[in-house]
Amino acid sequence: MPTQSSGVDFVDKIFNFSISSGVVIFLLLFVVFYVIFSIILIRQLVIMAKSITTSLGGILKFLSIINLFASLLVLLIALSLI
Amino acid sequence: MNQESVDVKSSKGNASAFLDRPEKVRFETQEKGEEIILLLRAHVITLIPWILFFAFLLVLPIIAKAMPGNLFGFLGEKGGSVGGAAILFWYLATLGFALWKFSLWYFNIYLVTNERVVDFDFIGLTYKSVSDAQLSKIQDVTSRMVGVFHVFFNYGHVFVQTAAAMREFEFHDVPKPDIVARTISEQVRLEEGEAPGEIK
Repeated sequence: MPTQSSGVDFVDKIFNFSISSGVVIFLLLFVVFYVIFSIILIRQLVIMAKSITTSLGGILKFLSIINLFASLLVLLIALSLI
Repeated sequence: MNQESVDVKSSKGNASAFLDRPEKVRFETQEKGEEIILLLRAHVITLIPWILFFAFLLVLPIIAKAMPGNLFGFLGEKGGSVGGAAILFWYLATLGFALWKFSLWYFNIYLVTNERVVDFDFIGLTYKSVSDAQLSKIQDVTSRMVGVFHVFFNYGHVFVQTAAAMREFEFHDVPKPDIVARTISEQVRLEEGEAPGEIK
């Protein structure tokens, strides 16, 4: 017969599991949306730089690509938390 | 080639808001012999609220960490790794949005060439609009500075009225609006002296 304290522990574990999983899934969703944003940002910068050629256009495109790779890295980190 | 220059000091850096005859700048529909006289963006002062907002976003995790108690403590043993990933994402998203905002400011450009005025509009992630008006179609140019900030930092709006059927061009928050209006008027006068279709 389970004692009262072990029952509380069990409920505690379920509660902790669902809360932490919820937070990770929430984070994961944000990161997925951010990856999509990063892809659109690259596309938008390519269109902008094509419309107006300036010396800084290439640097901004490069930074947006770095931003996409960094967001993919954060996505991998978030996936590893599940 | 028309060599009249705008008699005002302007930065030669490509990230400036007021560029007189910018070097190494070309645009998609530029014609042969067409020269950029002025390149304008919104005054840098209009970016200050965004800079302050991004600075606040950058220091927010530091403020949260300085608060008593562990922010992710309720997650138990996973709290440290989830918190680390969340903060990493926070900084990445903040820098990403800063890059996006800067790009919008940088590429929202007004051009005055020796043939026309061109307005490049990029709004959000999916909107692009390029409109232009030939100098020969311009009827009236007005500059307007309203409020203390405009007068103090010498920026404002320039309204370019074209032929009746066409809409008005609005250059918003550009530096030195009086000089911009004068330059457009000078270019219109020069254009009126040319034969139709001639590019000087």
